[in-house]
Amino acid sequence: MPVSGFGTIQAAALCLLALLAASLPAAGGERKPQRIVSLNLCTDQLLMMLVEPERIAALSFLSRDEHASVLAEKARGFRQVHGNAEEILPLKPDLVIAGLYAAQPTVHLLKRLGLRVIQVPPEESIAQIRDNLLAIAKAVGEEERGRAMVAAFDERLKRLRPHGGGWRPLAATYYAANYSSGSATLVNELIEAAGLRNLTAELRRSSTRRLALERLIEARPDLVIFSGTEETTPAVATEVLRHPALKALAANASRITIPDKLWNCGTPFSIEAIERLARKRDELAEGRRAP
Amino acid sequence: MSGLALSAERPARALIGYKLLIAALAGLVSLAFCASLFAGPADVGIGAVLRALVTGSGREAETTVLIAREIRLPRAILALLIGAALGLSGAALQGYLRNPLAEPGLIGVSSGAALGAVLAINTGVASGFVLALPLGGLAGAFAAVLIVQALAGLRGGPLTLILAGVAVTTFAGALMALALNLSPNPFAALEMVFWLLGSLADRSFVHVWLAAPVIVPGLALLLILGRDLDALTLGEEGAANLGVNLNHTRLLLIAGVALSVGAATAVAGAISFVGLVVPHLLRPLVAQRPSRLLLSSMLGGAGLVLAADICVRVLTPDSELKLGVLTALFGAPLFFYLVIKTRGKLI
Amino acid sequence: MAGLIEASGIGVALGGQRILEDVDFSASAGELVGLIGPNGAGKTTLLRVLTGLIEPDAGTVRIEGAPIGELTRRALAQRLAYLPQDHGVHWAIAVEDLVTLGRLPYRKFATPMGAADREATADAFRAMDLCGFKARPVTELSGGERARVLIARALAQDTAILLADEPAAGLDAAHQLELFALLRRLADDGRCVVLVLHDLSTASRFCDRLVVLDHGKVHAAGKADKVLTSKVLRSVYGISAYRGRAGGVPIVVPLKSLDAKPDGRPRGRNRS
Repeated sequence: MPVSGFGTIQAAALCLLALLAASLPAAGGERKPQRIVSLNLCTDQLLMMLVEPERIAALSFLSRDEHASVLAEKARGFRQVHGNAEEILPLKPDLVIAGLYAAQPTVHLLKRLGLRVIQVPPEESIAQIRDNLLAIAKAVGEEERGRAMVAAFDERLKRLRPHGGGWRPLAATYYAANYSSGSATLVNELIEAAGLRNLTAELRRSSTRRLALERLIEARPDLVIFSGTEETTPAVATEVLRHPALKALAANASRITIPDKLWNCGTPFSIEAIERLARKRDELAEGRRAP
Repeated sequence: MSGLALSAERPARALIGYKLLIAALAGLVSLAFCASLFAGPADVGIGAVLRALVTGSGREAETTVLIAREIRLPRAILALLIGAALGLSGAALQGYLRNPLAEPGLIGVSSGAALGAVLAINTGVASGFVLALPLGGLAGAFAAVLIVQALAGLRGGPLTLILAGVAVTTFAGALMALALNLSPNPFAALEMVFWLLGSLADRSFVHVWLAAPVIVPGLALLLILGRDLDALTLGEEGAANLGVNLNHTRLLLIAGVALSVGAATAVAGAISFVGLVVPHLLRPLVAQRPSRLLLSSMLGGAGLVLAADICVRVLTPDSELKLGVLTALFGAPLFFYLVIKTRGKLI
Repeated sequence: MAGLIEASGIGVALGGQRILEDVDFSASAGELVGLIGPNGAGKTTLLRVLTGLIEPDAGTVRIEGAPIGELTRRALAQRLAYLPQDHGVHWAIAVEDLVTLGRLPYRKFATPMGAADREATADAFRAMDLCGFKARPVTELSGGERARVLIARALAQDTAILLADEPAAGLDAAHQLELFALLRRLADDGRCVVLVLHDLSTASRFCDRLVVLDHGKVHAAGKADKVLTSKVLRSVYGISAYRGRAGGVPIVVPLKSLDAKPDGRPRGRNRS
């Protein structure tokens, strides 16, 4: 029925325009992703810290493992995927976050099928933790929150700083199957941030490689850092962690267990590792002063 | 005659007398044992190691003592015992089966022991119960041997026994892979390699006390088989006529092999070739007498494993090669050589 | 007279077939007894029952009066030496080492050879004329030489009873004569010797007694001239033979097969 001032066609055109205007992306960019799938333990945890639960479609199954993941409890509330495309596609994700090195065929397939996939390198340094936080925050449309988290992270770091000079004890990490973290690893940076020296880095080994038990004992570290797997995993590989020589060494020296989950991924929780190591360092320094 | 194909053409008069041979082998083993104490990635001198072993923390630094006493000494002892077990079992089996291709691995003992140990560790049955590992290995070894016996039957000839052994070995290997795949053990792949190729890395006195009380009686059971094996040169009827109780012989053999190789495999994985190659090499030196082959193979096996273990530490100190790699590297060319030698004669 | 070896009522069935049925056998010291009969008659099986390798389903075997089951293996090995048909030697050991194996029933574990051992072995070497062969590996010898070595082993075992299954197979004419002459001497010296043999001339020449087995039963037993009659030869072997003496020794020469078809081939006599 004709309205004064407007013809039917003009009304329709206006409605169409209004519709179009409403569907234009909000100022500043696209809509925030609402169905996010994460395929990597580390990105799982960062994601959980950055977005509301409703926006997470699925996480990798690794995030439920309480030995590997700090937010394991929380992760159990989400659907889990094992990283193959058949599981992921029905979830109709509008964003997939994956690591750089795992499941390459799956990532390629998802990209070919037109899904939006971002890949994030493993955190091998404290700087990388910041970068990854910001990158993921940007992708999920939570840049503000991301920046806030980085700021809080830096604040905590600063409070640890005052170590100026003084004795830096020699620490060594020792994991199952004789593995030990050398230079160019997150573990190394965290150890040094705590005011300790890393034996394996000083032996000029980079990344996480095997270290003969004899070399560890020979070097007489002041502190041996374990990851706690020997208690939870029955395996031939963990037998070396119960070796009498290692026990004797760790009795004379000092020992500390830093659970894997604190530093296998670079998250704000990793500062916990530095804090624990720093406390230990202070203990050792005390012990050294008092006869 | 199966027994003669590969070793037929050596002169029966041994190159050196038996006593001299045993003395020489014992000397070599002692040398290898000492060398094993001095091999390792840590930078400790020979003198330091000796002092650390003898005087303890009196004269030498604590870490040297730890390294010498807790890392190198148990390792050398284990290499000695395991090599002895493998060499002796191989000689005994070859004598009994009258077949120079027999070895403990062939009749399923090693795979069975590995499977038993893997199940003991990975099903969590073991957690805390330290004896579970060697017991699991022994159970697996005995089960494998008994199944092979049952398959081959009492009258089964060497060929049947070998076929049964291959069947059991393959099946046990598959079960072991399955168990490791299904277990939550994140090091499963690594562990497969350990069980299949063997390693003495980071063994301690705990392993010595677990294995030695089982291996030594096993060795004893095998060493008393000398007479019976000599008599078997004339075949089963000839041996029976000479007063040998063949049922006892078989029983002692099975028990001895299962105990010694079962315990050895449980702590160090399956090390191939030693039981096959050592008797082969020494047979011409003892004029092919099965009884003399027993003690000499025991010493020879000990020497071979000690030498292989020194090599793995010298070649790849941190991420050690597996022992089985070296014994196979040594054993395979020997077989090439034997094939070429007998090629002409088998026509 | 009580024999060194006595078997009565022996019955053996293997795989559903009756191999031996109600067999009586005995042999005494100083006797050389020949077991003859066609192929498949059960001669080897009887011998194995006498050595204790097979337990009969029926009947008993006594060695020097004692039931064979009551003797320990060692005791049995010290009384009875057995030379099987199969000359298998599995390792290329020296002749000397092989002959010495015969002393195993007397030697305790891990003790060196005693004087008695050495003497018995030396005697065996001499008897079989092996002194030049001591160090050679058995596998390098000819068939006949190897047979002599195995017999020497049985001799070294120094037993009262010797059982041999076709010991002369593979020996040339001269060595055959030598072997049987030796066995005859052994019997004369007081041993009890039981042989399975095929050659009827040898059997009648050297053996004190013959036992003829046919289809698992004793067909005839006694002295050679009583046993090797044309009747027995025909019904057991199906042949006719010439029996006589030549050069002072008895001979038996098979002449022709009585079941022969016109072209000389025997009709199928089922011996299995």
